[in-house]
Amino acid sequence: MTEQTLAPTPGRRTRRRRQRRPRRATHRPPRPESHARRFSPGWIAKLILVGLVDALGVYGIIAAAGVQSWWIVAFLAAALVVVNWVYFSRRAVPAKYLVPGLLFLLVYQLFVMAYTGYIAFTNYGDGHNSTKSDAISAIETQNQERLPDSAAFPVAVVSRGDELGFAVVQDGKAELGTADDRLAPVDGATVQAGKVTAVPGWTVLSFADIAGRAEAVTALSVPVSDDAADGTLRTQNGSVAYVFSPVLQYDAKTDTFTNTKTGETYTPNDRGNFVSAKGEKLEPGWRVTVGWENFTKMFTDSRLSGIFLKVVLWTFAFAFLSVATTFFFGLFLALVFNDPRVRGRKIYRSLLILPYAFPGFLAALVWSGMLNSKFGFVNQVLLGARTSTGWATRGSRSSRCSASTSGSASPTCSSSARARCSPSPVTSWSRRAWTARAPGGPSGRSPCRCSW
Amino acid sequence: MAANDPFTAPISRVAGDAAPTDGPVNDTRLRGGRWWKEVGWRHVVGVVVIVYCLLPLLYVLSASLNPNGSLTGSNDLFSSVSFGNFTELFHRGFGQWAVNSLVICVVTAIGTVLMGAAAAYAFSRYRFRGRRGTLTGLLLVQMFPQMLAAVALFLLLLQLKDVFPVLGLNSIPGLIAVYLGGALGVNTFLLYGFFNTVPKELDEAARIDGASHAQIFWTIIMPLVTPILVVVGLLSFISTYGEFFIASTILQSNTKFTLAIGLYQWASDERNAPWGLFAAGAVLAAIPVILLFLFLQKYIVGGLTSGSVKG
Repeated sequence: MTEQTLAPTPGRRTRRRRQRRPRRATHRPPRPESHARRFSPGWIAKLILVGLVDALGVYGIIAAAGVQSWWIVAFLAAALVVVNWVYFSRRAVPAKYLVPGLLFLLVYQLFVMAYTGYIAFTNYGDGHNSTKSDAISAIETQNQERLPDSAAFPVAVVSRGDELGFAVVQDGKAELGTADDRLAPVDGATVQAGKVTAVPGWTVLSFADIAGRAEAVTALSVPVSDDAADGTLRTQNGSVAYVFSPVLQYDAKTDTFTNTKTGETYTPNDRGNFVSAKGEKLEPGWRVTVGWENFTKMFTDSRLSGIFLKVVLWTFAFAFLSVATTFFFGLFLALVFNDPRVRGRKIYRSLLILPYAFPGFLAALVWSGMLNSKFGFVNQVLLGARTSTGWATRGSRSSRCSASTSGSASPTCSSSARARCSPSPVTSWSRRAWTARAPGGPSGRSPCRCSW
Repeated sequence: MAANDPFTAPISRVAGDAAPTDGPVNDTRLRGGRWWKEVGWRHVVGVVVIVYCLLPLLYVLSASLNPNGSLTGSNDLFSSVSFGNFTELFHRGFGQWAVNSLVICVVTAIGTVLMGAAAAYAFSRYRFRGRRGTLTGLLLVQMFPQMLAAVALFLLLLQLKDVFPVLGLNSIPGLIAVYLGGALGVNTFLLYGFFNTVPKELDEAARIDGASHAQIFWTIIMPLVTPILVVVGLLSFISTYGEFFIASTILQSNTKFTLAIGLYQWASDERNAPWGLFAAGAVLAAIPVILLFLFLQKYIVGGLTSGSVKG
């Protein structure tokens, strides 16, 4: 393989030409034309791996097109082209080594970073979780009322794994539907006295089963047809179902909801909700961009700004303190044990490294238990239960605990209410004491010569 | 260095070693006040620090053996000993969590090492357009912790669930893929520095002998950089092992939990307070990491001090 460059500079190109000339003069056998003619194990491995990636990618494209995720389709198509070009081209050697890592980086790091930025400008959250079309169908199915003269269907509640469905007899034929699939005829169902008693592939729930899952059964609504306006089948008691029709009817032309009883119309606003003229809001809404609102809220909303400011300050203080204390304490320990006159230095050092080997998240949790204000070891035993210092009380996020144990109880001192599980500074200073003790380390390897 | 080495620090060494046989005349060992001032206090510091280090470990060991599994009951160290907690663990899904954790960590560590090494090889051995830009980009990207993007990750995996159920929410391969996304940023520089210390002449010699770039990578570079591969693999294993936030965002059902999620759940359960159970779980969960440290210690210290980034 000659020198590998993606885009050689002019100077390099001439050098390459110069290099090649003597090579041609020697009687080397001509290089093989293509990797594809050398069936080396490596080449076969590459073929299999790229083949697997291709198969996965094509499957993904088909599946994504099925659920109309066009962004995923576009990304997968581009990724497949890139992967195949990189691995079957003779050029782009560096890319062969970079592509796998970069693909993961692109999706799970760069994309999510950008996506996080985008979400910051939306009102994503409770009641604004999904798209507008999802919100419309949710509003339709949630606001239902029994049709006044609708027929009563003797219903059989059926289940398949976690999925629940209704089986009814309509016009003498057994039909089955679930929350996601509308009622459709099923073959091979047994019907007795106008009620379905068995469906292949499904279990017909007994009365006791229905009682056990009452909440799920009464919440289930099975669309009668593809048109949500036709209503859904619901049951209150697990034996008789009625057709319910939406009270709120959506009109795609005017993009409004109309209440069929009161005649009130609801129009979409720029906050991602349908609202009536009176200001009545329909839930759920959908996700819309709200500009800088989230950012301004963070500083102006008194419920958030105080906490936010505290958390920001404490995060910086925590970062600074944990670096400074671990560094200086580690250095101090390294100096202390760097004296050959100290007997048993090996023992001290081996014991010092123990907390480093103990996983950081466990150390954090153990400390949070030991610092528990009422029952913890520190208050009960070491301080003799006389004081009730709120070391690690979840409610009062006291910073004393970290100041005094140099932050080893990291979950209690971090900004989030959940454990951060970062390696605790105790472990990091023990490591620092270890690595800082002598230049070069015990393996005698010379200090690094490289720099980037 | 000098003070550590017996050959460059002969005076103190001789004074210490030769004294007993030479009788009182040549005994230069420090005594009394001077000993305390120069050496003795170091032992005091050592003992205090070691107590501080070992107390949590002893405490958790005692709590794990304590059949009265509450926080208060654990305060009398080693008051009673039984292995009830350990047997009880495995009725509560701990075994499954441990398997999940090990699978996730091993696969992530291997993937991280392979992808990181490949990227470092490209950066270290090839000169191509965009090389500097990519390196700088990696440096910038790694400053943004994946953890902060948890919401976006959740939404991404929610979407992916429809396309690749295996990579979606509440799936272990999905979580591994997320971890692998963070693989390049953190480790490439550690590896890159080490790769640069391997002389380029070795590759050139191999290339003259007709080795392909893949052969150079697998048979020449990789064996030479084993210490840093071990370190990266170990660091990746440990950080994945203790990762809680992303794992708890993505994994939702009890059977998919990792040890970090499961144990956190026990430790923070204030109503039932299964503290003894948690402690027993913590003791067992610490074993893989401690074993890794034990066997790979020489690589860790060597690798950390000789890579361009100090741990």
